[in-house]
Amino acid sequence: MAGIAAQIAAMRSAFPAMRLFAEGRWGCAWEGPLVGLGRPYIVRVTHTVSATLGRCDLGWRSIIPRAQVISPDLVAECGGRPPHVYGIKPHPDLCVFDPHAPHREWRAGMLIAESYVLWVARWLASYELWTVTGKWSGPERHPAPKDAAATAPCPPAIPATAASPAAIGRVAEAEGTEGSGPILRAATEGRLPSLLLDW
Amino acid sequence: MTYMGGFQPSITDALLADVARKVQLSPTNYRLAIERYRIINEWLDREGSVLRGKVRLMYPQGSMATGTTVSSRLEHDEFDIDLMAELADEFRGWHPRDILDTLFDAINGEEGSRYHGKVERMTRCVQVQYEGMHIDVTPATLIAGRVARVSHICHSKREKPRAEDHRPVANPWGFGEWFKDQMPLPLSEGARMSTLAKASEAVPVEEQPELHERSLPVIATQLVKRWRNKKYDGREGRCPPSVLLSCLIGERSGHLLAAGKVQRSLHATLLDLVIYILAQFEAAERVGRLIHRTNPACPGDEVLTDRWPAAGRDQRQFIDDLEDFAAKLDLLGRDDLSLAQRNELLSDMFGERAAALAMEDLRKRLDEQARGGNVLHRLGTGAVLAAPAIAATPTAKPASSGVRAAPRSTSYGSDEG
Repeated sequence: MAGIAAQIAAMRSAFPAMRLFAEGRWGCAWEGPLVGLGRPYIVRVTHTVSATLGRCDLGWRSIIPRAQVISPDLVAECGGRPPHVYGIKPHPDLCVFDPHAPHREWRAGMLIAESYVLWVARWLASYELWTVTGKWSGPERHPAPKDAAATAPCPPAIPATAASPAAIGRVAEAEGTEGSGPILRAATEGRLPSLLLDW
Repeated sequence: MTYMGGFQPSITDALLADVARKVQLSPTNYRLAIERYRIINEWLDREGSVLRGKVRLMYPQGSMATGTTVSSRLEHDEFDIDLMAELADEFRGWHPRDILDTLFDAINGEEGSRYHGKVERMTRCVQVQYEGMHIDVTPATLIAGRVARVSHICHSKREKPRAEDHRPVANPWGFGEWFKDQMPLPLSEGARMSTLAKASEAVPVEEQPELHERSLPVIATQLVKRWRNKKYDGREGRCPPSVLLSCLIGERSGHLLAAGKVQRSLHATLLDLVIYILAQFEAAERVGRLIHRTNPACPGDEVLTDRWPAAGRDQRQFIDDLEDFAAKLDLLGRDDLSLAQRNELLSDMFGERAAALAMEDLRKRLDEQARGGNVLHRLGTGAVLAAPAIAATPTAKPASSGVRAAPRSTSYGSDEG
């Protein structure tokens, strides 16, 4: 498995404009411009390596990276839901690889900057071409309903306790995250942190 | 397009090249045009033809000679192929009306023969109609003592008195050679099209070069002509002639070539040429004149602006059109445009069909690359490299250090869920 430091170093080298804005033992997250064909999009990429964060079970989110287009608003732009996304509020998650592919398209040993981010860029290119031609580009798979249920985001858990400053401090120490108040508050309350749904 | 030295084209360049590819003769139609050219030549020399043994040379002129053929129609393919038929010296003394009528008779032939009923006698040529294509054969006689291929052609309006017919001087072969001489070598190594092999009667035309084998001003010429066709579609009267546009483009390209300045971007080349053409028309208008150009290969005799512009309003309208073209091209080059915005601009400039075909070509290339696991990205931005030649690269090996190949992946997820 590629460590978080290796992921950060590879991203800094290949995509220096992607700003690392959260980092901890749980993983890390970047935000910055990516281009599909010509126009830049502001994209957030989240990489988690921990099965839990505070009191929260991250479930499938601990297995795969995630990408969301922050700007422009894709749903508003195309007047509905673009293909190959899940969840649309406030920003849809892009489905850039098949988690059930027999040859395992994403593997934990991969560097995000050398694989996942490039898939995101291709998704953006395919999206732009879809807005003009109505057709998607490249291989695609539409999961069966059972398949979809296995990969769809879970609803946020009910908060177990209110987050006191001390509790947040304990989670911060355990997770190695200090820079993200909203994440820590959510994780302390047992909610899925906003980083993992939306910042 | 292929760019040497690891240079990668922008999305704007890739789309403009796709539009040019879509409005030119397809390889199939190009071969068909060459075959028809060969057959007409043989037909004129058939037993019983009034011109048997009297056509000394046939050679392509106009866009076929300069490699800038584009469809003359917006919503379907229709190509005009121009040939010169150089007649024997005995025709030098003939009246132009008789020459054109004789050529018409020779091609039209007897009832039931190959071309009978598909031929039309025009003012300066004889036109053979095919589906999606017509071939204009212009009869000419060489003028003794002049440089290569300076000829008399024929001008004869059937509805006008015979006394008004005349024999203009022209050198379309010389113009084609001059135009090619002004062009820089293509960014990828490729043969320049040679259109004249002096030894044979029917001059062989080489295989049409791939788009990436042409220099950028040649491709830009096709785009300017396509834009002109779109702009004048449905307008009354003549449009700016292709030979004038090619002359102005040749002038600018020759100046840049002599100065050692060679553009590496199709978009920059096209915009520069449009601005140059605009400046030439504005300069003429400022001094209260109409633009005037002669054939650089026949400067004393052949005026390229003899039929257009006919009046200041023609010139003014074209200046307005060129200003609009330059503004839209400038906008097309902006980095922050969505593909939908680019599509709208391309449709406006070159026609909806050409833009839609270009977009679909781009989509198909990305689709094939992605299915083959050959998508290349620019490091730093992630931008997909959208150039056709790179798409045709058989391996995913990066073309330069700033490029990375992505592993294969499958877009996943329900459209509904």
